[in-house]
Amino acid sequence: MKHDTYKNFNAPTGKEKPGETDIRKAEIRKADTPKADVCLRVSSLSAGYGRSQILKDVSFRANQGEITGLLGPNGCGKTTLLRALCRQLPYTGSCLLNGHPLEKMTARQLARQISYIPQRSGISISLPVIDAVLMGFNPVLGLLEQPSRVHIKKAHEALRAVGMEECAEQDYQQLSEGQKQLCILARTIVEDASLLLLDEPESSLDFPHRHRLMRLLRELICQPAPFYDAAGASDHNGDSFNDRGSAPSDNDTTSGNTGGDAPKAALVTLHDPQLALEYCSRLILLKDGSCTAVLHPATDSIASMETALSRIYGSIRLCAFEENGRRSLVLLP
Amino acid sequence: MRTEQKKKAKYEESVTGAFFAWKYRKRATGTLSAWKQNTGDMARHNCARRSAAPYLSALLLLAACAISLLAGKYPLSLEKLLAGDAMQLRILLTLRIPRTLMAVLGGFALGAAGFVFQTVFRNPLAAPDMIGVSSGASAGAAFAILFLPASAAAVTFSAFAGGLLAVGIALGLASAAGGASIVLAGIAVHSLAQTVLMVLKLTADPERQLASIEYWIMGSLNAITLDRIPFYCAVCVVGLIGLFLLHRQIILLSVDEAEARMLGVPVGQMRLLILLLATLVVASVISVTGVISFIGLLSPHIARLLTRDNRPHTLALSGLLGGILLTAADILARTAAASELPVSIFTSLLGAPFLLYLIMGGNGGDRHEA
Repeated sequence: MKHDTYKNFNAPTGKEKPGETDIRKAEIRKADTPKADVCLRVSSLSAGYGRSQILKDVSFRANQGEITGLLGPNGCGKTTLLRALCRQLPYTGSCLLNGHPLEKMTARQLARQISYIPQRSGISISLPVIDAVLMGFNPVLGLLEQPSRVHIKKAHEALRAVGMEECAEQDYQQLSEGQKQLCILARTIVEDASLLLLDEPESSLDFPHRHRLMRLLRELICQPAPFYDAAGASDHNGDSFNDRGSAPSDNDTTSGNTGGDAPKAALVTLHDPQLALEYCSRLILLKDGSCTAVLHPATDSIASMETALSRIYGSIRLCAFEENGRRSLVLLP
Repeated sequence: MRTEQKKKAKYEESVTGAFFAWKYRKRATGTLSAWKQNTGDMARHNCARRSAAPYLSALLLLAACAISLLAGKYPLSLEKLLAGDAMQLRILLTLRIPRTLMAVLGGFALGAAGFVFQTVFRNPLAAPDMIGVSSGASAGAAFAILFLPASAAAVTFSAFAGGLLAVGIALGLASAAGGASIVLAGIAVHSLAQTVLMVLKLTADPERQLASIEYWIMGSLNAITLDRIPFYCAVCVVGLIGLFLLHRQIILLSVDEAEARMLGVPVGQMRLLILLLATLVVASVISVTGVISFIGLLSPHIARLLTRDNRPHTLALSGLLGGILLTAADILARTAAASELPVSIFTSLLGAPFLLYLIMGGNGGDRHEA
C-alpha cells in the first residue's frame, strides 16, 4: 500500500521506479489526444483596464488533469488574463468553464469552481494556519455557518498533504514565504475547485520551495482523485465532500463532476520559463496581449520550441538532455 | 518493509545525484501519500492553544464593576446597602447601576468595534472615526445643544442621528464611486463634519453652549440615568451580536479583496453590512457618553498581542478589555479630583502604558514561536 502511493513521486530514474515515467507518459498522451476533457475554453477573449486594451483576441483551452502554463514577458497580459477569468475585469469573448459560460455564473458558483492563488496571499492579520486553510470552505458554508468537524479534519489533512501539519496552530504571519504558499495551496486543496488559477505562485519562493510547490501542484492536478480514493474512501466513507452536495443550491448545475475530487485543471502564470518547461503540459506563449504559440514541452521538437520562445524572450537557446528516457529542457540566454 | 524502504532511500540517494532534489522530492512524496492516512486530527485541533486572557479579563471586569458601583463622590458601602439604607440604595439604582452598565457595555462595544474596523480596513490605525462616526456625532450633539430645547435626550438622539448620517453619506459616496474607496470617502465626510462642528462652535454662545459642546466632545459617563439608555443599549447589543455572528466574514474581509472574492465573499455588500453594524454599535455608545477616544484603538491591539490569533475569543477579549478600560477610567474620572474629569484622559493613561509594555515584549513576546 505504502509503495503504491510512494512510487508516484520518485526520482525520474526509469526502470525500478516506473511511477514517474508512467505519469509522464500519461501526460504526454493527454497532451496529444484532443479528446482530453476540456476544463476551460477561452475564445477570442479581449480585456483591459479602462480604455487601454491589454488582451487582444486570445483563445486557448486548459484541459483537465493538466497544468497549463502562461508564459510571457512582463506586461504581456498574463495577470490581466487571470483577472478577467476571475471576472474582476470586464471582457469580451467567451469563456466556458466545464461547458458553462463564466459570465452567467453567480459569484458563489464562480468561487466554488475556481480557486485563485495569488503571488502572495493578502492575509494581513495574525491567524492560525489552520484558520487560513479553513477559509477555503467559505464557498460551501452559509453566511453564519461555522466549519464543521469534518471540515476541520479535512483542513488538517490538506495541511498534512503539503507537509505543514505541524504548523497548524502557528501564526500564519510568522511563516516563511514558502510555507505561506504551501498553506495557501492547502487552502486550495480543501476548496476542491475544478479550475485553479495561479498568478506567479513561485515568484517569492526560493529554489527548493519552488519545486516543492510545483510538484505538489502537479500531483494535485495530474493524478485523478489522489486524495479520497482507495484508502481514503473506506475511512471517509464519502461523508466529507458530500457535505458539499447537501449545501444549498447550485453545485451540480455548473460542473459535470462534483462529488469528491472533481477533476482539476490548473492555469499558471510563471515567471520562470525553466519551471514552466519542467512542469507544464501545455504552454501558452503571450506577447503584447496576443497568444503567439502553444507548446507541448514533453513532445514538441526542440527547434520549434526554441523558435517560439525566442519570439517572446529574444534570442535564447533551448537545450535538451535525456536522462533515463526522460527529456529535460534547459533554457539558456 | 523497513529494509525495503532503506534500500529505496539508499538507491535514491545514489541515483538522483542532486542531493537537494532528493531531499525535497522525498519530503513532498511522504506528505501527499500521507493525505490518505487518516488519524485523529480533531484531537490536535481541540488541544489548540487556548488563551486564559479572556477569562482573566472577564474576572477583572467584574471586579471593576464592583468598585464602580461603590466608588464615587458619595461612597457606598456594602454593609449599609445590605442594611437597607434608603439613600444608598437610591444612589445605587439611579446613578451607579446605569453608569456602570454604560461603562461596561460602552467599553465592550468600543473595543469590539475597534477590532472590527481595524480588521475590515486592514489597517492597525483604523478607528471608528475613519468613516466619520464620532465627528458626525459631535456635530449632531452640537446642533442639538444650539438649536433644540435643552434636554439630554435631545442631545443624545441628535448625536446618534449625526453619527449615522455621516457614515451613511460616507458609505453612499463610496459605493457610488466604486466601493474601494470607503476610507477616502470617510476622510472627506469626517472633515466635512469637522467643518460643520467648527461653524456651530463659532455661532455658539461661548459662556454656556460652547462649554457644553466641548464638554460633550471630551466624553463623560456623568449624568447617565436609567431612562435615557435602554434604546441605545438595545441597539448596541443587537449590533454586537451581529458582529460576533459575522466574525468569520470579518476575518475573510481582512484578506486581499480579489482573493476574498474568489473565496466566495461578496466583498462589497459584506463590508457595508459589517461597517453598518459596527457604526450602529459605536454611535449608540458615543451618543450617550460623548466621544471616548483610544479604547477602540488600544484594546484590539492589546487583545491581539495577548492571544496572537484573531479567533472569536480575540474579539471578545478586545471587548472585555475595552470594558475594563472604560470602567476603570470612569472610576478614576469621578474619584481622582474634586470635579469630574473627562474619561478619555484616563482611557489612554491606563491603556497606552499596557500596550507599550506588551509591545516591548513584557509578555514574553514570542512565546508561541516554536
